[in-house]
Amino acid sequence: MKKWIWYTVSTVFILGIILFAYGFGQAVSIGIEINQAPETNQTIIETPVEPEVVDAVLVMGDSLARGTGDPTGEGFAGHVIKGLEAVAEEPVTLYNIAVEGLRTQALLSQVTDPQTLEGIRGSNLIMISIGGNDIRAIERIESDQKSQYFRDALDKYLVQLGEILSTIRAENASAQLVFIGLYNLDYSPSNREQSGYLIEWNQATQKLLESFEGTLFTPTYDLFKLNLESYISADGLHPNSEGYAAIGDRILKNLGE
Amino acid sequence: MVKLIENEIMKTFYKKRIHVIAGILLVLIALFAYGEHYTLTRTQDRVSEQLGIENAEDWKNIIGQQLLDLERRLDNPYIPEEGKASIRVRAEQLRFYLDNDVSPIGSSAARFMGQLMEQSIFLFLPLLIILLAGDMVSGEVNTGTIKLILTRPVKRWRILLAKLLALSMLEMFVIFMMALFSYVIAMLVFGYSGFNEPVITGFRVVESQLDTSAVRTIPQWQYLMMTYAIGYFVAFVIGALSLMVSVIVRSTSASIGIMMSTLIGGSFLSLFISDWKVTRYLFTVNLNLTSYISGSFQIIEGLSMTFSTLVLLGWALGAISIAFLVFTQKDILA
Repeated sequence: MKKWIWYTVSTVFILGIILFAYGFGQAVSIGIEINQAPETNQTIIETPVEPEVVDAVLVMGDSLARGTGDPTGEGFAGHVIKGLEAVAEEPVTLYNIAVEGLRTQALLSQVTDPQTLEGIRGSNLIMISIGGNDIRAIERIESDQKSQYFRDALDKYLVQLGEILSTIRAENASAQLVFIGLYNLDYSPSNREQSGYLIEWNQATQKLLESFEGTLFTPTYDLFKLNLESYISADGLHPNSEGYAAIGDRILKNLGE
Repeated sequence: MVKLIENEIMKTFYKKRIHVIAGILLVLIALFAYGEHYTLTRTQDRVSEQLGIENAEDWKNIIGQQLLDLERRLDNPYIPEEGKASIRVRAEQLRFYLDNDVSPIGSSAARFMGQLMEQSIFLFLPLLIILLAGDMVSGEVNTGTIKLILTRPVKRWRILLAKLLALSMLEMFVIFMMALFSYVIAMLVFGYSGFNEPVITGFRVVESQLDTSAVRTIPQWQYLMMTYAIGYFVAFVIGALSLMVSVIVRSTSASIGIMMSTLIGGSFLSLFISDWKVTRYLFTVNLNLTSYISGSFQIIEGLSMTFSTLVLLGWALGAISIAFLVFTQKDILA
């Protein structure tokens, strides 16, 4: 009779039962908890604290506004804030409500949100970066239909951006508005068709901005042309820290800070 | 009584049943680990190619950046509280990877152990248990040893109880082997244990929408303890059913065959579960208990951890009652 088999099996059993009684109890309690209906939707909207400081910056738009690609996570917004703080010698509040991959359509619905409106009212510098994802969608279209698609997209974009700008202006008549222009990812002559669309897009945007009070169009197309290698991050799409710093510097200079 | 149980266990070992199960476990776990390792290296290559990562340390920058982004999103007053819960757990996970210098693309022994149980709980583990329990009684009938046992001055119910308890202990032993083998093999392949790694749990479906407000993280060891405990529970239920069939049909091959076809055939019925309500009371569709606590949430409304546990428990108790009833009443003619 091999006694050790019996001893092993019974020891494993006793230890296992103790361990599993605990484990099973926990599993069931998690299972039950998951199954419970969640507490009735708490629709208490936290109203963001109204910024009392003089300098409050609101940043909205796509991943560029968010700072994607910057290992420090600052983005151009962080850079501008630093510059403003250095001049004002007092802290500047930053509200960054940018969302990666956002398109103009989505920004429009975000802007009309009551909480965003609250933020718009409380800021005196508003920076927007949008449109990059709209125009990138056209790149994939077959070239014979591209032109038509581009016209449609640009028209839609201008209408939506116009609505966004007038919404902001209606809520806050005095805040300085800064719009970041689009840069190219391929400046080579072989890409001239796409580059042409990009330039046209930027120009139309600038024209639209000029029809509103207190707006500033900050181009980046020229900024990236000769610095593409050193300004673009590893993902090949977003700027890196240097790229964001360059954009931030330009905004600061344009603001006269 | 203890002597009777000991006897039953020794019989199973002499019949080399445990050896067969150990062999099957070893081969399949090794294959599974190899497959896992193979896909992982492929994914790693693909990811590093896409992101242009040249040295292996670069993932830290990317994770660090993702983490930063998540943290800033948490500060955002415009994101509702429900959305923040899932961001918070995701951030917690990323922070763990950074703090412990573990690549999120890699795998760990603990993660592998959990996956193994999740994947085998509804078919592979039950099959092993059927193999183990299928001849507990019918085997004795086949060889005629049942007559020797029943002529002893021991009550019939005590004999069956000893068999049931011995089976429960052997089931634990199988689960133990599964854990041990998968740990050892995974350590050889992945080289990192990762028992403290956080696991996300607590997804739920409310009004056919994924609700993440109850999501939280628990350490991997705790998650493993839960999945393996559930594994044991499932093994016990299948063992009880196999024992019942084994008592009724008297032939080992028939009893194993019946159980296997019921298990496999019954799992097809889960296809109709959303419309044909009765199917949800079958044991086969309720075996996948781990899916309630892991991220792979259930889409079927009305099925829940409690429901499935109770259904399985009902089947086990029913099977044990019938087994005792039949075993104590039946004439042994063979």
